[in-house]
Amino acid sequence: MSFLSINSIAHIISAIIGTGAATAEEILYFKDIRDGKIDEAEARHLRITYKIMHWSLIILVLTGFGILAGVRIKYGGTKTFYSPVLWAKYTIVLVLLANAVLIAARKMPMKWAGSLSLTSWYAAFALGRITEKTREIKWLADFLSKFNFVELYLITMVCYILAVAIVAIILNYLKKIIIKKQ
Amino acid sequence: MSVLLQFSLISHIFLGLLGIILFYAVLMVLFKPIDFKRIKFLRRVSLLGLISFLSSWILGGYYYVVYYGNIVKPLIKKSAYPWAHSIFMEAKEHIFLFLPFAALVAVLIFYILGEELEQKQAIKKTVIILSSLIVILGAIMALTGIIISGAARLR
Amino acid sequence: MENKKFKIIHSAICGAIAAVIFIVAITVAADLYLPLKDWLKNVFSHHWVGKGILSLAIFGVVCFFGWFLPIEPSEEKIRKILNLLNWLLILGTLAIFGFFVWEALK
Repeated sequence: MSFLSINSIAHIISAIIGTGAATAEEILYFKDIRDGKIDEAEARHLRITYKIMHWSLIILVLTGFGILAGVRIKYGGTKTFYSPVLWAKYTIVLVLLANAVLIAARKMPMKWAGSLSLTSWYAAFALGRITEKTREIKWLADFLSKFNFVELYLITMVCYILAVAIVAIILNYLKKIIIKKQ
Repeated sequence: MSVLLQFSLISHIFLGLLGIILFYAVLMVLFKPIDFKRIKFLRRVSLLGLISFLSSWILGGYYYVVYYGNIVKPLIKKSAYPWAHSIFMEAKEHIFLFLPFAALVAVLIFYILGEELEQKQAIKKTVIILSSLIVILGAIMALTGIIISGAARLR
Repeated sequence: MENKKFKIIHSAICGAIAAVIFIVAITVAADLYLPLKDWLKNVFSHHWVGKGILSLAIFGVVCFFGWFLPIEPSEEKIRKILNLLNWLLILGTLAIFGFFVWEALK
């Protein structure tokens, strides 16, 4: 198994685990918030999913760069390095890391933290899949080639921001209904 | 590229990333109250981070001096992206030099002040900013590395 | 004892500040004044290696002499000088990027 394959497989596995952990975190949070508060036992479970997300993110970053290093050595620089979709993915990963820092610093309003985390994980996963499929699906590659770097990057980021806002509205609405039911 | 140069490039990338990740961990712990357990963690992790940056410096330097200058740089300058070298590589190779010194200051503060750092909140806050800057500058180094590598198209 | 601790930290921060300022200065100077770049290349075999070695030397020297300075560092002084280092890291980064963008555009 080559260096590139090992990193690619580890990258995909971490993405699946991380996205799964982010989803589990939100589900557990809604289960725990039903009585209006989160007690110590519930907080412990949330810390576990949070740790899994964090470790997955670290492995994702390392293996992501491992893939780039493998491609660089095997093929030289390629169009992949300048893919606007991948650069949008890097931006979203930075947002995830910044979100974690701001949560730790207690500077991130909780109504945004969950939606930012959940949306970012799914968005990064989706963008990674799109980049992979662009190589295989001709019509997708043709469609994306109609836009230049800045256009495609901005379109992706605007869609991402809208997705974060929509998910935030949905999650906050669900939280109100769940707490109101008590 | 020889095996040694491939090893140097890959190690430079991973050790640099490791340094960034370790100082990211330092940053996350600094937001909590510092006790005996946490200061042990801060000391070890920041020292490992410093060693990672120094190792990345040496290995990256070897690749840069022996291979990049003669083989990769002319390729980039002839390509459609000469700015990848003239702006990003030039900036990266100099800004990177800040990191070991910034990291060393953080390591010394953790080792010398220890748990007392928790009583000196004013210094602790500026150390938080210092650690954030180390992470941010490290991330900038990593991203500029992608830009530079992308311009070195062999085919 | 606390005074000694503060003094070591103060010296190290002074050394780091000197190193950062030196790196920015020599980066700009060597690109604008090519004989300096050639001198670095001749003495250290590569200009970038020379910049690295000299910045380490400057850090060491300033640290060493900083220890003997008749300063009584306090918590407030450490906070201020560490803040200065933080600002120089930001400004140094912007200065280096700005300089190379300017050079590329000229």
